[in-house]
Amino acid sequence: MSSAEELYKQLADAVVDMDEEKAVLLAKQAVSQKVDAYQAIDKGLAKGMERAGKLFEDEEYFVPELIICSDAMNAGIAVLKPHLKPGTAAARHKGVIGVIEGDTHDIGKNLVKIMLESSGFDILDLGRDVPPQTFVDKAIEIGAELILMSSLMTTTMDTMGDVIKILIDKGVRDKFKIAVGGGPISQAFADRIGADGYSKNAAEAVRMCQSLLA
Amino acid sequence: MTSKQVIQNTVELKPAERQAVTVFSGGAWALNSNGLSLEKALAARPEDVAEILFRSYTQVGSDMTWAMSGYNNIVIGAIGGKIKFRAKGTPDVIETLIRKVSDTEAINLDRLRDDPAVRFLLEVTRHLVKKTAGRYHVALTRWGPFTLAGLLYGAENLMRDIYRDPESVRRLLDFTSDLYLRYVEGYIENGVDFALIAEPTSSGDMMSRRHFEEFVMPSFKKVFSALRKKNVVTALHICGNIENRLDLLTDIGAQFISVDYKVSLKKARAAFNGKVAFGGNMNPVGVIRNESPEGVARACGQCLADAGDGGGFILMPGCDIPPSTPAANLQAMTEAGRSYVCSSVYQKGDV
Repeated sequence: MSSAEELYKQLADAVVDMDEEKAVLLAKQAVSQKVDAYQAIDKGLAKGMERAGKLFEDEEYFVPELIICSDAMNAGIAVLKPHLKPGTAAARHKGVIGVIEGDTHDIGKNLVKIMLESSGFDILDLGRDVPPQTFVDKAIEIGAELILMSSLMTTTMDTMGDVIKILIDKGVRDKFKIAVGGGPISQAFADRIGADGYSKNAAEAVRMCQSLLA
Repeated sequence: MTSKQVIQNTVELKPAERQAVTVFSGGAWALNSNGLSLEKALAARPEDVAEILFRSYTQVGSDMTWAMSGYNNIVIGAIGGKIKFRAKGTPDVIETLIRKVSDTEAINLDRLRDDPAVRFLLEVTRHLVKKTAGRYHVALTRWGPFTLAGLLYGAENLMRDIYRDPESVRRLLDFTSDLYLRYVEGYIENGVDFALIAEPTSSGDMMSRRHFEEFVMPSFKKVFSALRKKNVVTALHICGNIENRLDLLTDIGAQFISVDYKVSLKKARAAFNGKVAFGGNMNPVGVIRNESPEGVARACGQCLADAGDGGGFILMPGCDIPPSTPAANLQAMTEAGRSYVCSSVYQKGDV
């Protein structure tokens, strides 16, 4: 294993171990050793977040652990980002994400965003309590391929269907892949409102989005 | 036996005349179905709102009535937080009230009773209790300490501090336990006799069993111990999958545990049998709202079969029902429950 590969592994381990200080230290080491910053993020920090996501799926990690892992990843990225060479990053799929209008529960949405960004997606976070029209306008504005919506409440989930209706009315439904998630959401609900995808957790969301755009 | 006696016997693990069955929560369903948003209802006459609630629950055959459920977040508004009402559904908290735990020191819990919305909810409760005339429990569902902590401080901050600053999480939970008890006290004084703590944020989908034991259980014990002194039925609902912690819930002071549709009722029976009563777990959207009445009845049959013999079980939705739930589906659920004959529930000689 080369020294760069060893460093990638240590960066990944620091994320999985929820060790923010170590992630920063190793990121600084990568900079001083002139290791490619993009690779250090992609093969190190992001790989660690992917492993944390797997532990989440296996019910060994839960929301607190994923948050602390992502803190470690982001702290490392903050060190490496100024050293990214222009044009080194691969082309990234773009998407918008938000919690549908009427709902302010955003922890699941935030986790999905973290996992997608660490897996190479560019995600514009529209926040919470987002009106259907805003999803559509922002997706068109940034040239997104994905529209991702969540709702934790049975009282607000139906509003996600309104986004799809607006897209159909504007004649642009086929330009986007639409996925939904959240506590009361199911595949049957996604099918009923005409969404393209559903995932039950943040780690699965990454695979689902990758397969929608494959 | 009145509905109240059926429920009371069930939660006390005594034989009941028939299977207990109830709508769960359903405040937004009851009010929205009658043309009232939750905001508009606050401007109506309390006795009229109580009449809507009473009629909505009893007409579909529910064994329980609920005192203004859906207004869970009013307590946050009453202590200075910002909430937003919606045309449909329930009001929600739009920003966190505290940035650090010590900010709770500036919150005066005496303000709770002065809040006009809280006073209105208490007034409706008083009228609802009068209408039930002792025939039905008047139940209250309100956020528990952990979920209140997440709303005040931000769920993500709370989850982060489990690692970063566990002591501050404990102090915050102490405060929110007191907040819960002070808030609920007013309802109990006005006749609520069934206090259900709703705890979505401590779900098994959110936090580990270890952290649940370390942080959430002490707050449950504190709150339920205080509630039991007030002579009300003590109950808990946690959203999501809690199969890996069912055994922990027999020893927290709750007499009744409501489980979500993600929990196997067979596993719940195995964990709770003879220790605490339990209830659930019709899928509130996939079945209760979306199915036909016949489909609901079929799913009820499966639920009852899974819950098994042994009594101490209330058939009910696994979580709050959507406002658009057809009354016919709720009626189908209560009919399926009421007509169910199970040897351990229906023991003529004992009742």
